[in-house]
Amino acid sequence: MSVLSVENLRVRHRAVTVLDGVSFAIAKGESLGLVGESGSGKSQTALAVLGLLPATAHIEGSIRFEQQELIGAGRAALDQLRGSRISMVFQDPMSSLNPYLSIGVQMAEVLEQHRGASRADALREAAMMLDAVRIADPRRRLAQFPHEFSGGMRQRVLIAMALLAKPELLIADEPTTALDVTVQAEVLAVLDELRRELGLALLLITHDLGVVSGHCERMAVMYAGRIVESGPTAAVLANPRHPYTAALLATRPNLSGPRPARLPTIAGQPPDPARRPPGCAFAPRCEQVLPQCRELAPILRIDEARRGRACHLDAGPQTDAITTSDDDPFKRPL
Amino acid sequence: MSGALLKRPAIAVPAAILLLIVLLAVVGPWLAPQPFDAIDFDADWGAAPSAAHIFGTDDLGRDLFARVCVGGRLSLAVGFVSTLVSLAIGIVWGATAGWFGGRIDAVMMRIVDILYALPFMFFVILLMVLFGRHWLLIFVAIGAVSWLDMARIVRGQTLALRRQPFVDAAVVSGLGNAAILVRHVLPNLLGVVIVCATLTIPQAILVESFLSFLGLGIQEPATSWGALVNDGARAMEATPWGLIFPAVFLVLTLLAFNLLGDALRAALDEPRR
Repeated sequence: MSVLSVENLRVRHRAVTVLDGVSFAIAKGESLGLVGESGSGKSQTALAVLGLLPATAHIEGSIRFEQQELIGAGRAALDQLRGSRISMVFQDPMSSLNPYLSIGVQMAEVLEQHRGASRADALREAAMMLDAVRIADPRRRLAQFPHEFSGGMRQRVLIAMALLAKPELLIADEPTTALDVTVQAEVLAVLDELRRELGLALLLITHDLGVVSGHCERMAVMYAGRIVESGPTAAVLANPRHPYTAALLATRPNLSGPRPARLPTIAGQPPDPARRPPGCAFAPRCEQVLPQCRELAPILRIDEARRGRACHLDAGPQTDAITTSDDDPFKRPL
Repeated sequence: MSGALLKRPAIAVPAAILLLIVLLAVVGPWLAPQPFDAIDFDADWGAAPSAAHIFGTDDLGRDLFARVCVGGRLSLAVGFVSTLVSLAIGIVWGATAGWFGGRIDAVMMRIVDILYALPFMFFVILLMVLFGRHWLLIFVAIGAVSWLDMARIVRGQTLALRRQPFVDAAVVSGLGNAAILVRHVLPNLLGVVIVCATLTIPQAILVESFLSFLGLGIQEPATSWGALVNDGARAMEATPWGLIFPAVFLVLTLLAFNLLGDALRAALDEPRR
């Protein structure tokens, strides 16, 4: 049973399509890493799930949280879920806390809002949660303001805040990008530990393959608004099946072997979302490009080992960009 | 926070000056030898400062000290009341427009633009013609105009705040619009609003002085600093004290408010970064 299931999500801002048929599902207690370069649509996916896209955005498809459709759900319905059953940790710990309110007030707010808890009870739970993310002397810390915390501590405060109401789904949008490597490891360790304790489903958005390999059971690779490959993290990293994933992995420096003169790169640029090529978005940069790649967008096909791939290479004929039968692979969990 | 702020000389000095002036305006008339509208028939008209009349007397023989104090009451009251009016309307109007944005924002701010375009003097004269001369109209007229600036500033600030990640974070934690506005947006507006308010007070005092100077403001025997300056200016060669004393109070008050506003802005800007 999936906690979150996204099906064929399309998001358009005016004429610019930023998400083009994104589908994935996360089961209880599972962590899914969504990787891709800047502009591939990772954050747009997170914003869509949380209903944070601007009102002018055009959204199609389905986002279901525990069977409840979130697309088109009203503000009141979303407010019931957000903060209590779905939480989010933002990228920038520096600006995600209100500089004029103490940490305690900001944390207590969540519980007061969703459980009608009293301030004293809420603060007690907040202190316990701060302790869980390994912030020393939580009682005293609650009275302090955001500027009295370091970046890594603020991010831990944000994680504590997001987990305070014991949500079922946590979305973390590049939670460690703004932090240095040692602090990043600490924050991720805390997140891992709490995730196991609470049986939390995690959608971790990152461009760091190292983070995914260490902290996510499954991963999905996005390119230009589509998921191009998905599957168990270890399998995808060991044996990438999509040319983009393979190229991406090839660009990683090899720490043990001899040092190459230059790191390999992927030639070309990701397509301008406003002028997306008609077929596979990666076709112009793909070294194994086939004639049909430039005409027909490949669909994401998922095999028995739960590995998905959207590529025409060795894939057999595909008649249409989107199948409409009941056997639609979009409807199967990844 | 306020205690630490008062320890700064840049804030404490103008604040102390203002406190003294307000105190003088409140208790001064009781210390004066005669009521502000009584004529001292023993003194000369336009007598120079002396032990009996420390600020001298005006051209009707009224005690200038009592008149400056009473005038201060009105000038300061105009400053505070119209600033309160502008705060109340301006914050609600600006925060609503900035938060909801889109069409609501466009309509609300166009209304502000239209009111801005209305010539102020024309507006005041219209009010006077319609309702007759009454001191309450001064409050209404100044209050009606001064909230426009406040609304624009608050709206701009709210627009900027709305895009702050911590506001998104509040939305994501399931808080409703009202809760977010009151708990997350308003506290962040406070610095700007306080500064704007300390600059609105002297502006209102100045506008009232200007109106009184033109004869559209306060009517005899009641008075204000502006009216006193007007009277004093007419006889400044013969009795300069009639101009100097109210002018000194007026200038000192305006200066103190401006310094205070500036110092508060600097103080509220620097921490929490």
